[in-house]
Amino acid sequence: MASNAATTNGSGAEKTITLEVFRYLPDEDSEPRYDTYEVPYKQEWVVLDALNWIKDNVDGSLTYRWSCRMAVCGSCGMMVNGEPELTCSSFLRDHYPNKIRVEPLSHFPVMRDLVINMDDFMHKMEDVKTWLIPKEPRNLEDGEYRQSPAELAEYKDFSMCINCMLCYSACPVYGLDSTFVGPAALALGQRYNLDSRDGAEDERADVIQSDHGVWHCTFVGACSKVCPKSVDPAGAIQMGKVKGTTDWIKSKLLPWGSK
Amino acid sequence: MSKDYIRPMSKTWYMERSYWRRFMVRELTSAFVAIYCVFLLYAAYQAKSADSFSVFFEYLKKPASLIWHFVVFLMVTWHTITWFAAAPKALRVYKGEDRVPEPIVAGAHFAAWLVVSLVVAWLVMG
Repeated sequence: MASNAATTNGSGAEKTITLEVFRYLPDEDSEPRYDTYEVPYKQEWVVLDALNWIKDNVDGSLTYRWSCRMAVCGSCGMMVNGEPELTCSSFLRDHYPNKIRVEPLSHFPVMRDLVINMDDFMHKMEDVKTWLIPKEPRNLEDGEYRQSPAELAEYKDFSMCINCMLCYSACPVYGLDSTFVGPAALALGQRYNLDSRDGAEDERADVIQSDHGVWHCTFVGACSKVCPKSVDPAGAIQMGKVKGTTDWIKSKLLPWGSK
Repeated sequence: MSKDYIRPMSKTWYMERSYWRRFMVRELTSAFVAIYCVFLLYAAYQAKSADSFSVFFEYLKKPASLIWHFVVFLMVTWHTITWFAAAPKALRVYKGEDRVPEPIVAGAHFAAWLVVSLVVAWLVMG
């Protein structure tokens, strides 16, 4: 029963696993190709370890993003056998002895090999204004903002986002129409809307409540399934729909408008 | 400067991943919910007189009608299950600082569904 062995045998050939890697060189290729590599199989190795081994030992030109290798930086998201995953926490042992196909995150333009163009996502965070906009200006001598644990709990889940964009690769709505603001940017908008220190919900509503915002979402729910930090963007978006609806009803029923 | 490579989605994209297939099935069942609502309106219209309703009632007993109702029952049941399973996403309930776990919120929906179904069954059959 070699398949479950924790270490490689002292004698005999070392176990290997096959990686099929998406390659695209913008200056030379018009179409991408798949290169196949035989990589040493180690039970504790992740896909990122295998890519680093290829870059060190076989082809130094293989291009991909990575940094922290501990699911914090959000750089190493790629498609592993068709599923968006952080390659730093996607183990070879979950696929061995089958081969692993590594591709750049789907639904994004490919700049080179496994590197995607994330400009669109960065612009969307700007559009949604995913930062704290205080209700009123506050001087240093006023001291720190006070927030109760219950107030923190309201947005804490949504604040765990590491901008890895796996949710965009899981979302068919974004894949079919990239004008959709998308899961992470909407979840981060909700994160600041729910923050007791923030006062810019109306400003963000121009984007969040637009046709390209929460109302473009058809609630596939895949974003929440693939999120490595359990942010639940699908939940944030549905909350946004509920809030938009109740605000609209209030604005129609109450003479003094919403709020 | 650089030319990015764009990968368009295929026309059968929904077949590529299991959670996309489940989504499409859920969306398909909603069509049966809508169609059956129209059917119920037609049934209500046929109840305008006892004669027309008895004619309509005979049609309901035919095999084609029974098969149609069985299919609709499966579709609407699946739609209800997926709908209530998704409910905790839109309904985040907090008890103090702790969020009420999703299975409890979903479970409350299923429990309410069961109670309402039993009451309706008791009214119809009792």
